[in-house]
Amino acid sequence: MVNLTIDGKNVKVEKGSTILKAAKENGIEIPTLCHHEGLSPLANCRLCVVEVTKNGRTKVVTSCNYTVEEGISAETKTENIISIRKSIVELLAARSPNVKIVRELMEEMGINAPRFKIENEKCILCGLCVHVCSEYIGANAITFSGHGSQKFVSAPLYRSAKDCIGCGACVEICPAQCISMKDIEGVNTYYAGKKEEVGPARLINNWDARINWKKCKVCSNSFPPPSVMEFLEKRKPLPKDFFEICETCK
Amino acid sequence: MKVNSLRDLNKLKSEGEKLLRPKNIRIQVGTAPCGISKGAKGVIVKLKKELTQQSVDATVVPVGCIGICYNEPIVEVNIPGKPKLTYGNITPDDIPSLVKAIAKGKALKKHALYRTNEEDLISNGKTFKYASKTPPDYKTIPTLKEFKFFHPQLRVTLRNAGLINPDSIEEYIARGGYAALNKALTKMTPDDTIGVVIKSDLRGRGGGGFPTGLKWKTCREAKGKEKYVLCNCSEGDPGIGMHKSIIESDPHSILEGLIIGGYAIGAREGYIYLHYGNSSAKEKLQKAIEQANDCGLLGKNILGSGFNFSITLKEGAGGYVCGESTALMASLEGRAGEPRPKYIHTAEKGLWDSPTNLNNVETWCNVPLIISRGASWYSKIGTNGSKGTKVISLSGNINRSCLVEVPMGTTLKEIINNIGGGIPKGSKLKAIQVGGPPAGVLPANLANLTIDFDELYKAGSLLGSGGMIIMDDKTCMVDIAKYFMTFLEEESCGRCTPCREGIKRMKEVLDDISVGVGKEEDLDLLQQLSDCLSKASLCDLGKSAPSMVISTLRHFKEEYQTHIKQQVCPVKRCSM
Repeated sequence: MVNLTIDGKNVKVEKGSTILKAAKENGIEIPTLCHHEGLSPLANCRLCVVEVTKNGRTKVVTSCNYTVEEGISAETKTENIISIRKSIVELLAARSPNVKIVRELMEEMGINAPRFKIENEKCILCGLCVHVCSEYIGANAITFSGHGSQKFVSAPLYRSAKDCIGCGACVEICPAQCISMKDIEGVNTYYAGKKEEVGPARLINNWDARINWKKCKVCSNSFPPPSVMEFLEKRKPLPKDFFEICETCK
Repeated sequence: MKVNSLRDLNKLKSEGEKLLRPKNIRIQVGTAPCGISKGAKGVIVKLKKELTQQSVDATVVPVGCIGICYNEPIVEVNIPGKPKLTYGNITPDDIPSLVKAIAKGKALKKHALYRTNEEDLISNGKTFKYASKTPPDYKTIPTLKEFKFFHPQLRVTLRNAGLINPDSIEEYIARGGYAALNKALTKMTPDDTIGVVIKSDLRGRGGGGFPTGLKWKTCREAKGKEKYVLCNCSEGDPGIGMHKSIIESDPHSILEGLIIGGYAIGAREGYIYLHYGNSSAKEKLQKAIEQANDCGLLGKNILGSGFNFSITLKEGAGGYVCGESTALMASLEGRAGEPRPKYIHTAEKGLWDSPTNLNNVETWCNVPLIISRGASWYSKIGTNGSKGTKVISLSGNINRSCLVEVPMGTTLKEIINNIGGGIPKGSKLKAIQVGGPPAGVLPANLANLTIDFDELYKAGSLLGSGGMIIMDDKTCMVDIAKYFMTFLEEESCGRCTPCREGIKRMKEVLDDISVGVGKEEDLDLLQQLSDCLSKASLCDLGKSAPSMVISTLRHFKEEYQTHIKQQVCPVKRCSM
């Protein structure tokens, strides 16, 4: 166990835990956009900055990836930190003024309107979709394209996401809710030089991904093809009898 | 020929000496980027043709940057037994008369810059004598020591630049090269080597100025099966070309430094990371690595010491951000060149999560000298806090754009006036940018500051990589800040919010100010954004990005205000 203080409060947490985790466990809220408990920290959004004092020296760090150390103290709500967070939210508000989570943050921080030229991007570039696809799912179907202010998420080389298995993890994790996924019954799929196929499929428009679905012989409901499950099983071994037990008993 | 011992090394040395001082005439032509751009290749072709036509027995040798770049193309003629003569501004049209003079053993006074009777060999402290007597017709030409351009300079890192053929390992060895490697491998333990580097007080020349020896020590002590040493040759700042010049003039000094570093740290592999687009530098390095491999100075059991080391050259894809240590490592690993958060130092967890030591070209070049001449010799050069010399690429509104090397502690004024030849007639010095985009600008009244890590840092600037851009009074500071923000907007990787969005918005605000629609509040907004960027960005690119804006706001605020209040650009640079 490691002893530290957060906002003046003495806190005891497990070794190797981050300041963010330590704060959460002790009821101290730190805003985040690109953090997910099941994934390694990204430290992209920089919203979770805190001031850490170690050996008499204070510096601004991101709490999501700063591991706790014995005797350090962290301040999460100093004037300095609040002003940094405000600036970041204002920058995001100019980029994506219609994203719900950004609007909520604006309200929380008391920002009425950003002082910059307003755009209408749906994606806040937190990077969680790319991260979950590569680190947790292992499909590596999507990636960042471009760089600097021209950065965006897409399938590699701006083509349709061939490696997408249609798991929907990116849709689930996106804090801006900007990834649209639809399961459609009669989708036309064209193969170069081959016949046209019509059938149920899952579409993720953001990466132009199309995953053909199976249709149940009995009830004619569509369900994911075994390849998806097999893929997932390879990455994160499922219990041996997973395919032996029905959904209700699992 | 394989080099297994000091005896073999000495054999190569005598071969190199024969090349450096052949029985016939040796003619050197500067073919660093500065020479090539002024037409050195045409000069070589014409020179060879003319020599055969007039049947003069001479060897034409392409060498690196001689230093007096403003006089390129430069031709140096060394007739055996006579002082070496340096000619500047030689065009192909001047070649016939030059060769005629060479054939007669005379000097072509019109183009002669200086003569060299003897040279100091920095690598081992000896002198290299060309001639003991000076022929009467040479006497009116100033000697190297009388040539004022070199007065404030001390060429330590550039010890071989412009004097040897960069493609020849023998010539490098003849000038004292690889002697330090032999000394380290045969007479010193890795800990001794690190001890000497620590004692020399060498600080990293990449920008941060971190003590090199301590960095090596941390990396040596870090736990890891494999360790790596890296050389950062990724220089993408506007207006800078020092690394390119060093590599193209003296590639073996980098290799030697890297091998010594590998030995000291306990690494078996070294990587050189080159900025994309340096095709000639890449060629030179590749050739040097090949030669070192052929000689057994790289590979297994180097110099019979049992130490194995290999060097791989890797070319990046051209991102400025890849000069940042973690982005460089990501790029080396084959991933996108994006920095990663580092609260754990790369000396402990760097390339492929192994302990990694990264230094830049200039730092590695200093290492062999420190080993061969000793820490106390090295630490005599420079100031209390900053030892040694600094290579500076001088450019901008100055009479002589050139590559210079001065001891630490030299004032900016001296560099500008005595080496750079001052500001072109009709204008005055307005501002100096010392260390690339992260350093910001210094106003003319601070030109008394010296080249010193701590002094420049205290003044709100940085020594950085040492690119010095001189700005005269026709430069608009809003315009220059806008230029750098545009550059950084393009070069930001876009990973973290403050850097990606912040730089873009700062540029937008500066755009507004420069076209006359800026508002009074904009200056506060710029301050706020600068504050956010410098504190919350993920890597040093973002953290240092606002420094151009911060420094111009600090020193030239009234210029911003004139733009905003009167909608006028004082120097009529911005179109309003």
